[in-house]
Amino acid sequence: MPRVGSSWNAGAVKPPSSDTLQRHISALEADFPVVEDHRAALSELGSQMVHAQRCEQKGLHRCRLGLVRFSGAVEAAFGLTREVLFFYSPYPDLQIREFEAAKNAIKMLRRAVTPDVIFIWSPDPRSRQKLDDWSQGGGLLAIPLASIQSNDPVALISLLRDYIYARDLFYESTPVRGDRFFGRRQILQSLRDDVQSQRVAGLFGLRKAGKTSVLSQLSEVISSPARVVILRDLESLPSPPIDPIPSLLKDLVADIKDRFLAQPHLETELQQLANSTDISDFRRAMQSVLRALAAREVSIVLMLDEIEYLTPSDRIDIYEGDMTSVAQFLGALRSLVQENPNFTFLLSGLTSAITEGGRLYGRPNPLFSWSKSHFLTPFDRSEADELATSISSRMGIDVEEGALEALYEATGGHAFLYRSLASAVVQSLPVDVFQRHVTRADVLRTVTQWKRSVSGNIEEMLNHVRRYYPNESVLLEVLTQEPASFTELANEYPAALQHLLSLGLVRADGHDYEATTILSLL
Amino acid sequence: MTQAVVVRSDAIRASLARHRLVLIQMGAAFEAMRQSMLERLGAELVTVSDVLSKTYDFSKSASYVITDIEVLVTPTSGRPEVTMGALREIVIKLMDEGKNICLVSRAPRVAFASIPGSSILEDAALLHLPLLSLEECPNEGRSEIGWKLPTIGMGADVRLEDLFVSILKELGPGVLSSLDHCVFEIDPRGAAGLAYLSHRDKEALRCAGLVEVDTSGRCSLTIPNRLLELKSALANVISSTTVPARDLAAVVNGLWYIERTIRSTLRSAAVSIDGPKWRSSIVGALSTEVLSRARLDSSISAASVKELRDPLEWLTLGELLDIARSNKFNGLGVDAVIWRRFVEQVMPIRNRVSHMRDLKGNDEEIVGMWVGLVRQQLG
Repeated sequence: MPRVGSSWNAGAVKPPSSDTLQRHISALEADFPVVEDHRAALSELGSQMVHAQRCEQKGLHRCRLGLVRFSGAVEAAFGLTREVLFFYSPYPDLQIREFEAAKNAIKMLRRAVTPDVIFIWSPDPRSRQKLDDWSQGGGLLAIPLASIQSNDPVALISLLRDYIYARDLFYESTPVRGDRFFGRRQILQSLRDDVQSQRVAGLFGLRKAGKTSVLSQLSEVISSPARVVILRDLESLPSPPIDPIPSLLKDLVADIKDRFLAQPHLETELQQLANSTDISDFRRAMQSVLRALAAREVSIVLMLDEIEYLTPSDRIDIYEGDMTSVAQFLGALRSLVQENPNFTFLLSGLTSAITEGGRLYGRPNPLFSWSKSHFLTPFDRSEADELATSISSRMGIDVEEGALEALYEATGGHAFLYRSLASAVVQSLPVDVFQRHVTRADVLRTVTQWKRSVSGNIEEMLNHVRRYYPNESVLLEVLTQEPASFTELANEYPAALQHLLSLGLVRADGHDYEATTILSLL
Repeated sequence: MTQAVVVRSDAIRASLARHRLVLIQMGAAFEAMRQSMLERLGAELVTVSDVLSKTYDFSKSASYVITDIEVLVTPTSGRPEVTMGALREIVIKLMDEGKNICLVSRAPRVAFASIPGSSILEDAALLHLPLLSLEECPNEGRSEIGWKLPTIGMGADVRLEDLFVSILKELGPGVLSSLDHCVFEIDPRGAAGLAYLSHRDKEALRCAGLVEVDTSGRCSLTIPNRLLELKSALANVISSTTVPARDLAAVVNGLWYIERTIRSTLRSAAVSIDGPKWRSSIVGALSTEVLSRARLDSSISAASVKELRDPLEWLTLGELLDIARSNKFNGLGVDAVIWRRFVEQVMPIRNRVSHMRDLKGNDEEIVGMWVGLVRQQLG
């Protein structure tokens, strides 16, 4: 372990000189004498407390907090770029409300504070267990200061290392947004343009390509007091041949009521909406809501995710089958867009059939030749590199260029696969060192076992292609098993070929075509 | 609390801390340690029925273990609230609130019906529970055949073949069919057929404790010198299966649609080419055979194929395809490459259904794909 003073205080922060700050720190030390030891240890690490104050949360005024700026060396080693919160609680029984107060303090402070790492000190002998338990979800790492000898700088560094290195910020099992979202600038801009122009759009892509994440991020980016975004996942609906529309209407009514509950001027319109019993009622009631909102220059963007639940082509003939309510519902949405400048909607799912077929459940498809389809392809190289370097720096890991190349080659840039492999590689790194690097060799060493671990997921992805893109699926089989026949066959099915290209399963190679990396993983 | 329980529950806790959403396939092989392992996780145990009731109070803990996921293997018709989609909606909401979730199922992932959109089972990180090592197995268990399986090694009074039966019954008909193919059809004298398992089937059998997968990906039996007992148990389970598989109706409906659509398209083509003489022209050299089949079944008085309503209905699918692919009918406009794939994939499924044999795990997907393709090309 490196001796303190040899490297950890490189890029040292100047000690505080402001009288006001000194007074606040003294007040902090008066209430919590252990702070003096912490500051001494920090100072040896070239780090300083740069802010101190009382906790502003009601009932917790006996708690205090400080902000620490670590030295350049410490920041570089652990991927810190901002001040870090140190929270002090005097209570012998640490409660979750103090943990929540610490989280809130980060938001309330008008300073650039690290949002996902805090140190918490408490005399509670079980503080470590409690903080470990509370830290498990929600993306905030609470490091128990009381678990180390307070004046030992090496112990402080080791504590930071143990907690930060134990994180796996690559692995995500739920949709991401905000600072966990990377890349996709082009598609986000296109979708923003669509929303702005009131152009109905669909976002389609393979399973776990990141469609819901794009919608979540888009929602975050475009939401404002003047633009209300409702993101409705259709996965809990029954699927045809059971009619999903009555349940969907109920869900949408509840969503809209929730969002506008606090607006008394909409009371009548919301009541009309709540009383709607069928699609026509719903359309009329929405018309009233939208007109009332238009008077206040407020618009609604509706995003419907997992659209397959309305059009499960493996269970029903979506072109001529008996489920007219779905076509009718989409027709109602279309007329709302056409008649109200303050309403539009987006769809998202695996298959673009809902926008590309001329007929939908026996009626003309209201979305045919009217909506725009976007396909979510794998990350390009620069997006993938940005994701890898940004996330790994927050874990104190340096990723070499060769490793970035290997990660991309092995995954083809598919969002889930890329993150999954990066996660597997990081898990294989040692944790008892102070500088962690990922090399090309590290990636190659991990790839074989990783391929086995994700082969079931890829098999399932391709099963879904089989269910919803039958022509494309047969073409894929021909490509992998009779490649010489592929080009001629694909030329007879240009729409299917285009889907395969758009989904990122096939790429053009001169006049021929080849399967992309995803298929080679099986 | 045995060391085996401690090690495995620690592994589950570590996975939960890292992945936040974990799936464990824990069936009969692990029954002896199931309850103590789950209780040691320090999480709140709740059944999937309680979760889906939407009345459960989730404020009590930061981590939840949701058990009995296997009840969702078969979707409950007419009750959309009892669906994997409904479960996913609730789980994602809990995770957004900072909770960690462990899903526990006796059935493997591949046994669950495919759902239209995203699947919580695909979102979750699958944790494989290792079998007992020699050091973990209590002394009194080591002399038992099959001691590696915790239920036997930890002292349950159960015969290995009976445990095999319990394990196999949890796997679902698709996995059983695949295992049947491996050990009875590909290599009836050994286990070399395991190399032909799909990834998901391999995963199911590994998590059930029946196979091991080494670092090179090679699959072998957990208890290799008891292949006969495993085959006997498999034969018993398959032969006693009389309830139709969940996907049988979809497969039969799909095959029905496919064959009748091909027949209808071929009939239309024959009529347009041969006019009123199409009945005798289309079956050609098979006329006598077709007439014989029809008479045996119902058309007792027909004197020639011209008197049959539709001679095509008495052709096997293979004979039908031979005619469709002939130069005269030019494959009905479908490329020969596609017909080749159709024959390779659909005929075996049709044969399985004809002989009332178990479907294979991906038969529904394959038939669904061909329904879609036939509809687009010929419908």
